[in-house]
Amino acid sequence: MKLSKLLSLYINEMIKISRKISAIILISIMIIGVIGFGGLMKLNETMNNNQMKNISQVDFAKQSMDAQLDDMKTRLKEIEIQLEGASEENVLYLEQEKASLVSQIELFELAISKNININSEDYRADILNTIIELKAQQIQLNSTPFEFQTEQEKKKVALNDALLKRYEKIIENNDFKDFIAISNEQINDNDSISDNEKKILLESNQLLLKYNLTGQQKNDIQYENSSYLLISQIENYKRSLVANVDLVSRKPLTNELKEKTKNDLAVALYKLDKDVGTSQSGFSINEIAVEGMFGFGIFIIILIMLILAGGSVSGEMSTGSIKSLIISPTKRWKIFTAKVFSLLTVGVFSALILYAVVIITNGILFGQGLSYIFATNGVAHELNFYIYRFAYVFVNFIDVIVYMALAFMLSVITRNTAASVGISIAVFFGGNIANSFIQLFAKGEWVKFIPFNNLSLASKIFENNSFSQAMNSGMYGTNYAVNIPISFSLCYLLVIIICMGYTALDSFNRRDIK
Amino acid sequence: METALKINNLSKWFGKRKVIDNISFEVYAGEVFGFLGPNGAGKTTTIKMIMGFLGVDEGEIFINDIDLKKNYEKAMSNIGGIVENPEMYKDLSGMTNLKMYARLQNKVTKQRIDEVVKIVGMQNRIKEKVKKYSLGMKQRVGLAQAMLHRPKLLILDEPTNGLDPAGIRDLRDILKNLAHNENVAVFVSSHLLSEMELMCDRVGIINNGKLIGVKPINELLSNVSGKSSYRFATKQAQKAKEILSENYESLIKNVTEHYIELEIEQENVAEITTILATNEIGIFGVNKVETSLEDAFINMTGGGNEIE
Repeated sequence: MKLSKLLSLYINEMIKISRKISAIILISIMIIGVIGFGGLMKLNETMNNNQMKNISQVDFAKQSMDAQLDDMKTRLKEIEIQLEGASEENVLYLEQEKASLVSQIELFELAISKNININSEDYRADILNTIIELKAQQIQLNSTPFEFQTEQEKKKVALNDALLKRYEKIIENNDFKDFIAISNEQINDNDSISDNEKKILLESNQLLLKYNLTGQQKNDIQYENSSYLLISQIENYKRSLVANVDLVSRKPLTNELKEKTKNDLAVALYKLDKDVGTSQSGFSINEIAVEGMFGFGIFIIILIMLILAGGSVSGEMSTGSIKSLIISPTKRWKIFTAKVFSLLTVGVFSALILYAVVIITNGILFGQGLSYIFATNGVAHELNFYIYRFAYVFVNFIDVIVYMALAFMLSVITRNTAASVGISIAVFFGGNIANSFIQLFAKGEWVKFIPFNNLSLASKIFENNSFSQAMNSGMYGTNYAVNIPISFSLCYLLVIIICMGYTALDSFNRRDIK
Repeated sequence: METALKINNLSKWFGKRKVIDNISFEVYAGEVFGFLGPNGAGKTTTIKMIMGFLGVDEGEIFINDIDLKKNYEKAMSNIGGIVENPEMYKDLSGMTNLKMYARLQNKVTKQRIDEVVKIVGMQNRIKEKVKKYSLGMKQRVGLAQAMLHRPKLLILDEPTNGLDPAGIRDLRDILKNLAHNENVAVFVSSHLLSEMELMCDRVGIINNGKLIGVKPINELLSNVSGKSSYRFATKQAQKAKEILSENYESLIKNVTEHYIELEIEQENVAEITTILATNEIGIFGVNKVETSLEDAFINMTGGGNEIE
């Protein structure tokens, strides 16, 4: 009986909201904007791909190498001309340049003959460089007649010879395995690095071998780049754990940080295994598109909620239509509750629309979406894209509720739509900017009681998302002076919402309607 | 007699000003009760307290013997009404507005909605959006809304605002019918006695937040009309006064440059006119002076001068 009245009030509220043109327009803008953003990103990607397709990568590499070689040869000729009749001082200088040019030309000719792109990440390019270096060494060593060479020098010459032969064989057979084997041997023979470091480097080599990261041209060059990035990350995490020091902040690892580093390591290893690479800059176009679409959508949802909540009570007060509610046999708290629930319904409804639109747009334009990888207790888990993004929207909805509560409270207290919508939009837009100023001067624990520092929980909960990583690293200027635990933020926001809600309810219940 | 509304020692402050001062009265089922008072007397404030807009600072309100404070929803379900202007959701049709209101009441059928729409004569335009309605049409829909759930007590604040003469007559008939045939207590506020006299059975008069008195309308009117006054427009008012002073001194109420006002019955008008005419005083016209609220107050309070 009593609940049925609440339900009736709720139905009435929904009828009223459904006739609000501003909400309908904003939801349409959200849908169009989200699809538009996705389309723009797709267009960008297609254009990039087209550019790439127009020129064959292999041909392009060859052409540029040929051009470089030609340049060097011309320069060599110039030097030879200059050498005739040059002063003694200059001769020495020119001879040096000539020697380096000659070796470079040799390198390029070798590369071209072996069909290796010297400018790429191909491991064989590395080998070629080493070969040239070794040859130069040999020439220098052999400049001393054999009889006058020390035992050590002789040994070195023999060693270099063997190495050269091995390298040449690797180039001939494209034998990545042996390359790693040589690298391992060198690491083991190197006395200047610690055992732990040796272990780390050897493990990295093992990973390179396991995932066959030769650096040679494959379908997607970006994957390889990010794989190298991941390997260097893995090395750093391991070093951190060994030294018990955070390599970035140079602070000793607390138990908590240790746990986090272990988890990060697990995530990086998992990503490498899944070949879930992102491009070198950290974001893939797919991820930018999804993130941007959600970001824009949630922005619009907050605007919708500010406008609706900011006008829900004050609007009825100013038009006088609140009278028909007050005259009806319903207690005021029921009217209040029905209004809150109807607003929440609109919020949830638009969030669901947003989720559906993003998922569908992403599905049509990019196919699959990126899943979310996280680790607990050093074991990596993967969260399916659809579930991950649903949870993501859900977490972002916390912000929506906080801003809605603010606008609703202002609407009840000021009884002025312009004031409540205006103030809450100003807080929404200006609050973070004002907060980053405060961050400049404020130091200390109390900073965590600033509401804005507790919002945007998504970037903390889904911290392995590359956007969150960028955000948390202070790329956007919101580097929190104090690390606030998620549980604190949640409790804090809950208290804020309850306070605002209670203030509004009390005001709505008690104050006269004149 | 059934008591539909009972008010006990009601008081209300706006800040430090006491706007309602210890008011008590009752409204019975089956009557039209007029709540009369000048602008700012506290009529709307009293109504808003009964309807739950304003908190009650002191005193009690009973609706059908149910305490409004203790059992708000049950008490309120017996009330229907309009406060000040009828305000509805402008982007929705009159019908949707009625349906929304019906949802908040107990057991209002679709037939009942159609019935009240017909009673107020809005059946042709009820589907239009409220923003297209004139004030009079809004009053009609407001009235329909107020009687939708067959309330025991119908409270209407200045219901004739914006209605044309035909509309006022219709309203009067509707209200009288509700009270006398359907045993509803109708509580109507107004600042016009002339309006009250045509529809009310009893009238309560309020001024400066105090209830001056409650009387049946015929008693009130007989008090007032017993001493109705007429103005004789003339340029020789002073001379007329001298002439009339001989026999009618006590009747002279007021003398100005342009007229002389006498407190006489209608049948005496001809007599006075003849006297003045025979004394060669030019009379341009004779007007009956409308009984003012003040006169009503004065009569009810026995000529006392409590009114500030």
